[in-house]
Amino acid sequence: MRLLSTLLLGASLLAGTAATAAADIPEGYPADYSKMVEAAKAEKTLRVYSTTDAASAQSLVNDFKSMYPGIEVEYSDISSAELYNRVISEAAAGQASADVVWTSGMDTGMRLAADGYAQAYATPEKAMLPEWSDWKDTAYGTTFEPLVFLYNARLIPEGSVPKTHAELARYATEKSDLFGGKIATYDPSRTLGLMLNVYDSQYDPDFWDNLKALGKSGMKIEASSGSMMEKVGSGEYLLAWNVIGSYVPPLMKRNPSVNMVTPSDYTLVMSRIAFVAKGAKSPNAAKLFLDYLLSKRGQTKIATDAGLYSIREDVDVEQSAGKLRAQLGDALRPIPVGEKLLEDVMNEQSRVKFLRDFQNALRGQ
Amino acid sequence: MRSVASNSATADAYAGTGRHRRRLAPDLVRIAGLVVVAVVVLAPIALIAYQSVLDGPFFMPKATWSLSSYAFVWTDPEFFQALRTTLLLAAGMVAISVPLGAILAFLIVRTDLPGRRWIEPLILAPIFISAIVLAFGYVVAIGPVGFISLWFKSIFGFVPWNVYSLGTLIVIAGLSHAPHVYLYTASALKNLNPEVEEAARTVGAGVWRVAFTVSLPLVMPAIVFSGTLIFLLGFEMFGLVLILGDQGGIVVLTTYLYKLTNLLGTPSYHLMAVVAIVIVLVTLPLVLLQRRLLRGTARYATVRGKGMAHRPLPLRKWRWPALALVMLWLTLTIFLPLAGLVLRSVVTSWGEGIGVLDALTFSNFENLFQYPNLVRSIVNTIVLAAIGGALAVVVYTLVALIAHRWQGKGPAVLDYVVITPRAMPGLIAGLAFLWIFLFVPFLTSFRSTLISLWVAYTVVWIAYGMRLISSTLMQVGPELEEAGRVTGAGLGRVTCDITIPLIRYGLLGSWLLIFMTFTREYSTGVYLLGPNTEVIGSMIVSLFGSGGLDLVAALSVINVLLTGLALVLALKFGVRVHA
Repeated sequence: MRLLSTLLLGASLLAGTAATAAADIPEGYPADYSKMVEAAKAEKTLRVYSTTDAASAQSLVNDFKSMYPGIEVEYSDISSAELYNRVISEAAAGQASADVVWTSGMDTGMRLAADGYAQAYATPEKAMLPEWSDWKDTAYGTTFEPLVFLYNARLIPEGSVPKTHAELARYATEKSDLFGGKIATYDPSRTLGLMLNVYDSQYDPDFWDNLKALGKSGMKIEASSGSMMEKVGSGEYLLAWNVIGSYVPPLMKRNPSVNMVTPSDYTLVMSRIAFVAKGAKSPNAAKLFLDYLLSKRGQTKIATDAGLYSIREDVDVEQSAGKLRAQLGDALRPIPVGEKLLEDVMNEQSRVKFLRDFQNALRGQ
Repeated sequence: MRSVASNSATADAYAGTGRHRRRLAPDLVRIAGLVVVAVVVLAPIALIAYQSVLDGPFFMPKATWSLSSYAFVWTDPEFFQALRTTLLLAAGMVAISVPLGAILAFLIVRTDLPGRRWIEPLILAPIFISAIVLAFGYVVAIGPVGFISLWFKSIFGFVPWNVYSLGTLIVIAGLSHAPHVYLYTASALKNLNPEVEEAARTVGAGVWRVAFTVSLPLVMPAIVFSGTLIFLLGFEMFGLVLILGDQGGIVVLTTYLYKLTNLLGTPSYHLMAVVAIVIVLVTLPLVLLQRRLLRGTARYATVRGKGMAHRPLPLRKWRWPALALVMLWLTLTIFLPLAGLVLRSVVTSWGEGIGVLDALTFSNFENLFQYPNLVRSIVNTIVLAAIGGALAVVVYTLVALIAHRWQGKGPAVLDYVVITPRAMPGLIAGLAFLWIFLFVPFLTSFRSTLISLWVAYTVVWIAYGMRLISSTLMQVGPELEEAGRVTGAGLGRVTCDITIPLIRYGLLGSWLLIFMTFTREYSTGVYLLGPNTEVIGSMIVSLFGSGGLDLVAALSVINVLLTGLALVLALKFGVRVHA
């Protein structure tokens, strides 16, 4: 009898500590945070619409679930265009939609936030985030991914790897027997492509001349990032520019021939946008997830297991804003999360005009 | 589909009193069925047409009636470029596939070509391989750093072909569509009276003379019919151009439509709807034309797995050259891309400077199973094709029964209703169904389930399915059903106890064919893609855009294996293959 009661006591003590440990509120959070946690657990399910592929995000989801047991996470891995489509059409139909939106399509994500599909929530992690990544405490940038040159190190001799955008254009012209027809970039009429090129045109004083030179050397346009990276790996292309830096390390592991360069004149940086959806059925769970993404613990997982880059300066791992800043300093050009992004990239007329100019420049006009 | 009027009248006369009442009730049921089918089948196209005359997505409050979408598309030079390219592609495909398919049919059906027994099933294979899988295989095999290209380069120092040019695209499209022409021409040739050819032979005509002056002219209706079919398929072509066309800047109407998803920043449904309507305006007359041609001769377009009854024409000195031609076609169209595909699926890196044999591994397949959505896509494809396919066969049987032995204009109206989805590209049909499942109140709970996908697939393929069942139903002699009617059985009883049991093997065969059709489908599921509605085809399109071509290769191999398994089963049981 005594043995049994001792065992029972021990078991309940263990359970108690386990429960409190799991519900540990991170430091610096408001005192009533535990109320939000309780409310989130009552909501039971969290719906996340994201463009980050499910395998990479698995570690994040599992970590989040271990922090807040009792919350089921329904993770939908879809393209940025599809994500936009789903959010607006589901909202129009009054159907259950996302609770958290986490998209790499900064332009469509910003459009959603500005059009009222997001709700404002001041995350306790605000102080640790750079100013340009927080739009009205509604939409937050969650990563810090550089746009790099991906190249085939086996087939390009050492001295011929361009280190800046100007060098890229110059080598394309001067070393045309090496690079002719073997340089590629994203199709600007697809997601991401236009945004990156618009910002290139803002930060690179010789953008249009460089584009003409690249066009002359037979630069190819690829609509599929996977296809483009595959072709660099196989040697069909020698170099692709404006490739998202976080895609490269896994590729390098599978194919040791490839390597990357962060251009030293300027490097664009993109940041995946996350927000709590306006009509979220599980708003508290959504807020917990957003806080998790922006917390030190979440950001560390983002930069390691998920293979992305962390945006917080206090996360000291290989793929982090801190390391990039040490490497490139002033040359970093993060794309701002805010209305400027919409003005620069989402105006229909200027988009079509930019595309026409781009096509013409490729043809040398 | 029309029964002989006098026979039924006689049966009714024997049925005595109640004749009028009995004829009215079945007619009401048929008409009700026709209305239901019309509503389900025409809804997507009506929705698309409605969307095209708005200036924004139809569910947004600020969308208004406007022809601005038509104006935008009509003044876009890229649209006309895409239209020109599409016409060129379709015409080129017809120019290649029709002569090739006709000659293949003649060689297999009419001559003593060596090995024709086992070649015949192989010829049908390209019909059942997904177009994106095929295209991907070509890139890996004969792309700039493809296996064959590199091997050729190592011997001759250069590569004479460019897989991304319009010419190559037309050739590949033409070669892979020859089987459609083959099917219709071969079955027409089999139904020919051999005496005409024998007469020509007895006066000394050589084999080719017989072919070009006697046999093929006799089956000209079937050849013309298949020509229009190829032109139609060329107009709707999506997968091949998506993969092979991008690099050379080749844009056709379907890929132009797909590009509109992002052109203005946010998906431009109004513009996409306009392009869809343009495609339908071209393909609908073609489909109607086909129906007229089909009535005449190629109605019984079937191929048996068994031997032929006629005496074959001897090829003599042409035996081995003809066989070489056929083998060349088989190699270029099937072995080459499939070999490329399989090779790509068992390596993680390939290309210039990498020894293929050193890099062999099954890791791509292993990795596949780490992705829950990919595993789901494989399971979903099998479930959708097997169970969904069976359910679809039930639906098609019901629809075919509506027109079975129906007098009057009814069957013709049903026919015309049912062929309209054929005119819409699968991509757009999927989008329309997404909207239907989003906004129609009692359907919304099914949206994120396989049911929405099943409905889309069933409607898109209804014309094909109906034709399968109808041709089976035609085998049933009217006397058998009338025997039932004469003894007093109602329409329902006759159907359940007589008609259906008689066609059960035909139904099984149709199920296998629908299984293969659903497995290779890729465009309809693209816009319906979401958790729980993944299938292999739409996952391949999605993955191709976002990366992970290792996975694309592994998935494609699994897709081909699934279809191949079904094809082997079908041919083993002597199923008549329709296209």
